[in-house]
Amino acid sequence: MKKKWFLLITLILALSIFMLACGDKEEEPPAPGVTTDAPDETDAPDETDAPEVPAGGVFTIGALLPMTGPEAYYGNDMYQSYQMAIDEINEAGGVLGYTFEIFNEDDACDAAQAATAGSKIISAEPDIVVGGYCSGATIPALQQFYDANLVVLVSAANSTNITDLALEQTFMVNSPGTHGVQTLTKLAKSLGVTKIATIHQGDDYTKNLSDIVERDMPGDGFEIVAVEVMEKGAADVSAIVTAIRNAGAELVYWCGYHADGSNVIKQLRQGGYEGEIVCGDGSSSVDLITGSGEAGEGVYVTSPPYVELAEGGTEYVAKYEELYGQPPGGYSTLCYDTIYVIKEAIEEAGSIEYEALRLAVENIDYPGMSGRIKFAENHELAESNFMIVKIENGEFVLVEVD
Amino acid sequence: MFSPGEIILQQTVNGLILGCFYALISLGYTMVYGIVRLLNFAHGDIYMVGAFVGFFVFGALAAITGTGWLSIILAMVAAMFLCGVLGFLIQRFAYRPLLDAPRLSLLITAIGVSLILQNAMMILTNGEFKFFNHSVNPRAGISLGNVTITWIQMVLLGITAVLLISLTWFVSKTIWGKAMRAISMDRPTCRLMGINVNTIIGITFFIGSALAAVAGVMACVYYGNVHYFMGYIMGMKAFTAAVIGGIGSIPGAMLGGLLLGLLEAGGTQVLGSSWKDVFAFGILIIMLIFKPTGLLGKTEVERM
Amino acid sequence: MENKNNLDLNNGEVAVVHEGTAKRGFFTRIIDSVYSFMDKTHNKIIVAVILLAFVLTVPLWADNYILQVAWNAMFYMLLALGCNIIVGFTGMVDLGFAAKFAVGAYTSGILVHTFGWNFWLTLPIVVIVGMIAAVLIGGPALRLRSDYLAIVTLGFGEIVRTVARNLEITGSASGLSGIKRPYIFGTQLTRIWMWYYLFVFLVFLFVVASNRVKDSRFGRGLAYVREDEDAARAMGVNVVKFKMWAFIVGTVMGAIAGAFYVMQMAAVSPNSFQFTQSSNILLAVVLGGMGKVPGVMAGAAFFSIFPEIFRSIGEYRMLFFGIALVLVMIFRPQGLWPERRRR
Repeated sequence: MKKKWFLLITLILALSIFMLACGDKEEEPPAPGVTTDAPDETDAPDETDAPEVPAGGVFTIGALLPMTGPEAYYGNDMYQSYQMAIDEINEAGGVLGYTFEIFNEDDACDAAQAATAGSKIISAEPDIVVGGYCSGATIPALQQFYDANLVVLVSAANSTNITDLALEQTFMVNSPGTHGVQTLTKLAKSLGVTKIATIHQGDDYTKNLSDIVERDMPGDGFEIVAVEVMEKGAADVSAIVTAIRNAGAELVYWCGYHADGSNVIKQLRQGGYEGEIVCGDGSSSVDLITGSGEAGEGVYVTSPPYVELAEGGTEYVAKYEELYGQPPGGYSTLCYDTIYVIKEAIEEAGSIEYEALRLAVENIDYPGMSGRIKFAENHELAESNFMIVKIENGEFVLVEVD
Repeated sequence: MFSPGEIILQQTVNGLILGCFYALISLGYTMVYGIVRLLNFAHGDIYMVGAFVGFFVFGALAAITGTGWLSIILAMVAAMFLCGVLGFLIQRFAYRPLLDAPRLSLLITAIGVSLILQNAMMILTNGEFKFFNHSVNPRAGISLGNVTITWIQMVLLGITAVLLISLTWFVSKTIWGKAMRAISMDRPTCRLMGINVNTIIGITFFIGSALAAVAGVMACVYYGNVHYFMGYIMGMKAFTAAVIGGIGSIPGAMLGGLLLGLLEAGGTQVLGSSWKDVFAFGILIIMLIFKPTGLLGKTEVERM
Repeated sequence: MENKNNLDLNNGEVAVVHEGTAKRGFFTRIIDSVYSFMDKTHNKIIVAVILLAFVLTVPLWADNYILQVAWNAMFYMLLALGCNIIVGFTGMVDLGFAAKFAVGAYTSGILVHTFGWNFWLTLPIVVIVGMIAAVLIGGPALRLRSDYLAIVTLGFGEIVRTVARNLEITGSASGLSGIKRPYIFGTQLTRIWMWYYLFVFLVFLFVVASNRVKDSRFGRGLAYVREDEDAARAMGVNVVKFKMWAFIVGTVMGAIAGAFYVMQMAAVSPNSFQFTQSSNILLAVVLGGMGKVPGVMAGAAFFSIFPEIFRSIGEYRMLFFGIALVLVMIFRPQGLWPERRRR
């Protein structure tokens, strides 16, 4: 009796794997499995992961993005931005004879799916990896990319937990949360407020941002009077608003994403909160304005480089809209620049070998649409790319604070 | 800053409004459970669909009837009807074939329907958030010291009260209501007595879904954003509310909804929002241990 | 298909048994022929050898992705097998199984990451903590009606996740990352094929354990409780005690699976334990055929592999998944591969 079960299990296992193999046949490279077939192999990194492509070949970029789920909008937008830069480069004749090609795998903003998506990217043997929107989903995949000797340029995710991993080949193209909080500190000083409340959404990125506020701002003479949580997609925050008002906050820092942001702004105002509202970089989106309507007037955003306000931004927006029929999202220029950083790095390195490429990226100094891209010791951006924008008459306007 | 009395009053108002949403949605859970013993996981998504129907109808009407209360009410009626039909169809095609199957199969089907609704809506709306911009001033209302109750909040409370009262009347006085109650007691016997069980089950789904749609449109008006996964948290909370009130009991669902709303507001104020759900679920569990049937649930002898 | 009503837990309704032996479905016939084929011993051995050989040689030709997916499928099998003790064998509804796996994952993760323990030494602790958690959740809940048990487990699932998110020791929202992977015979388990073999072994252990439980006196008691609680009680079965032990065994299995999961991922965060996770595990158990060990494993494999196969259709896949789920339930309400009941 007992053996029968075991048989059947193995059957299922076998069938499932067989099904998988069939489903993937077309995508498989001609000689798969070089990396895993020798059980006596040591832990040494594989040499085969960054194959030498002959000049004139294809330089493949794997993108780890949320293509389904609540954050699919951003994943899509980021992918389109990569694609736009890639098309430009290819039209201009490529780099060192290479043409760029990109493919994406869906992490659905979920840690477990990200791990699978990460290994799928690795199996497709790209030359470099980009992407990363949700920090919580990016982090589990990073270790895999490190093991597989793939340089990673994280375009949007900016939790400091990424750089805390201290992986030698992982770079953060977006300014980390600490830069955002420095910008917030400047803004708060100029507004003359001292009592700060934060609202985050309980996930890696938003909690990290709120933690940085709690950690860094008291040293500058601010008082953190409330730290609240709003679940993603939860509707009601009126109780939180009352608690924040009761705590006497003069400035509310919304650390969450733009989708819930407009709702929070509305309810803060509906609930009678009169103080300043500042949103974090996750909320830098036109949707924040359309969603919050009148309540949004006078709201500040510590924003990643806001595309319309960047140099050459109008042309960029026009081109993007023409191609994709929608305005670029908040991380669009960062993604666009990511591709150009790769191009620069390849030119600099004169090769697409892992080590050469990694060093070239490490030493890059590229003036991008999103600001200067140069990495500090810990692979975060050396200079903050944050700017402060304010909603005035239904538009974002740049605010200069010193 | 508030005085302690003002905090209690303001949080009570906050809790009651949230409780209205929970109450309207949990009614659908409780009615369906009462009549077919199904934990209808797709119910939260009906609420979501209701919000979207309201959003689209409102958008279409904006040019004709403006962006004020008239359009909102029309959108609400349209959403009620369409979601009612949707609820009926789901019942007809997904649940009815399984009414005599194992209970867990029915539960799984409900989860499947929930996935279908959510993902279909995600594809339809491209996964974007939609914003419901009406011209009713959201801040106008009555102020008592620091406490504000807006007109919108009062209208929401009013609509909920009217619906709850008419539902109670419907279930206790009309022939359909009586049939519903009879079926929830003993379905096979009802069938033998000549009650058209399938029709009554269909009506139950229609009413439950229409109520969820009202909550959906109310959420459009009050919170202003609509997205395809909005039904998930709301549905789960409303489900909890139905259990607190005693699942299967209609007044219980109303009471449970309002109570859960108040508990959450109180929990946020006292323990902070990060512990609010622990507080709400903790109360639920403690209550179930001491009163396993919920507040107003009937003591039911299991399978004797 | 003899006993259509046997999972109808508590509402005292009389279900109509439509299907007799004359009208058998397509699936039923296939499954029956598989059974009769497998009843012969030499057939069993041949199939076993072929499959075992196949499973063990997968890493020779498969790439990382296939191994990762296979690993993932086996991980789901472990969870589903644990859940099966509670849901399949005993007939309780558990909507918070993710919490059990979270308990194991965090216990092991914290001990290794924060206190620098050797992973293998954390396993006994994981078992003990799992038992404590089971008693805490089950103690009050198992006396309730099954629908209330569902909501209590759901509530505990949410509580565990929220607590993990709020506490410092669990790494709050970010969870724990960069956890050192364990060593086995002096070799660190860093490569996916190692995990593949480790999990093949674990699945084997769990299957043996499941069958041990099933065929024991205890397992027969559980089946009795599932089929008819009152009759079981009348016959002198201590229903609450049996349910409690089933709950403990299932929870401990989930916790052990969680402990290994966290080591392979080298990270754990509260977002991995959302309600969707619990409902997926439950779906795997019910879809595969409750109580049926190979069926449950097939359900788990289907669950983890389906989205992968249909990755190419992107956002449509979950829609199709929902449709498939409803259709399967309408046409195979007992699950894809139900238990062949003893007459």
